[in-house]
Amino acid sequence: MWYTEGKGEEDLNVHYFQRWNETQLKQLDLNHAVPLRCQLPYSPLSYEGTLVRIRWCVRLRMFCSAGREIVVQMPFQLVSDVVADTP
Amino acid sequence: MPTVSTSSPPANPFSTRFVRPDRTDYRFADGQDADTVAAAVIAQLTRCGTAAIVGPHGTGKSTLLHALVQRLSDVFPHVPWIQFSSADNAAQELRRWQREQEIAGEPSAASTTCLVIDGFEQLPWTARQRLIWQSRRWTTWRSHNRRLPVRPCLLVTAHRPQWGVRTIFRTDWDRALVSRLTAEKLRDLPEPTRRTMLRLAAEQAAKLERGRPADRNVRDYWFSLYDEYERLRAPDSFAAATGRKITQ
Repeated sequence: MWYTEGKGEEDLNVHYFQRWNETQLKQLDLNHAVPLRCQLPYSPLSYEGTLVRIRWCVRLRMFCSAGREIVVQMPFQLVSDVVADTP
Repeated sequence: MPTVSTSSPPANPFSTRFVRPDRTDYRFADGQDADTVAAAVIAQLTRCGTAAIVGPHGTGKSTLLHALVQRLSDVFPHVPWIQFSSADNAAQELRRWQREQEIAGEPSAASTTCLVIDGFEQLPWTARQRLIWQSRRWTTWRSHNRRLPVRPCLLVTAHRPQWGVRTIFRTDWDRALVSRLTAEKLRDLPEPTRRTMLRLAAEQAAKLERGRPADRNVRDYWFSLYDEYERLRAPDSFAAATGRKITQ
């Protein structure tokens, strides 16, 4: 998913969504990394402006018993080929 | 072809996502216990039926509402919330909301409802008076309907006291409290940046204290610190974080 960050109104979009129910979660081996695969779009790319930024991340939302909810996210940068490796 | 890098520059601690009302805990002055004060506020609301949280722009009215809403839900089975940020079309929005409630078969006004209106002053005077009148009618109705566990209420926020609505809580700029909240937002920054930001924050706060009381707005104060933080960031923070430089 991507979301905006800055001084103004916020925006976000979920690009890829996957849900595991309780049975599926039990089948997953959570002691090891669980791969997540999807094709990322060409836009919007990560953007670092002064007034607004566009952030990409993988967000994991876990619904526990008794209404408890845990949210963790792993940020990453989505950049295009026109981004050079050297100054 | 898009490519991915797993590092990311740090977030500005004064971005909207960190300072918006539902992301900031409301703190009561003098370190008063939030649960006790919130319970007292709700008790006053249920006693008078029509109540207002009053305070200047950006002093925490909406933040306090967000802090109260969970507790209100414990008392009232139905807590509809309407927010008006502009006077344009506020009356039409209210009417549309009321029609949607009727169509959806939501509990009527004369049931165990606490209607919350954030930005009451955005409504025209006539619409406000109609709501107040309805609220009083609920109260009369309640006196004949003892089966209801709690009186239906109207809770609003406004910049000034409202005619016919009892002010049950006032929010205001409290420099010590704002300084403490600001320091908490800066807690995770690297030490040199944190020290500089604390100094800039103190300077900005002192400047506001010297100015007009109406300009003491916590939201705008934090947005001014957003700009200060941006000035401190290296211009090529993206490159610093990712080891890459944008050439387009």
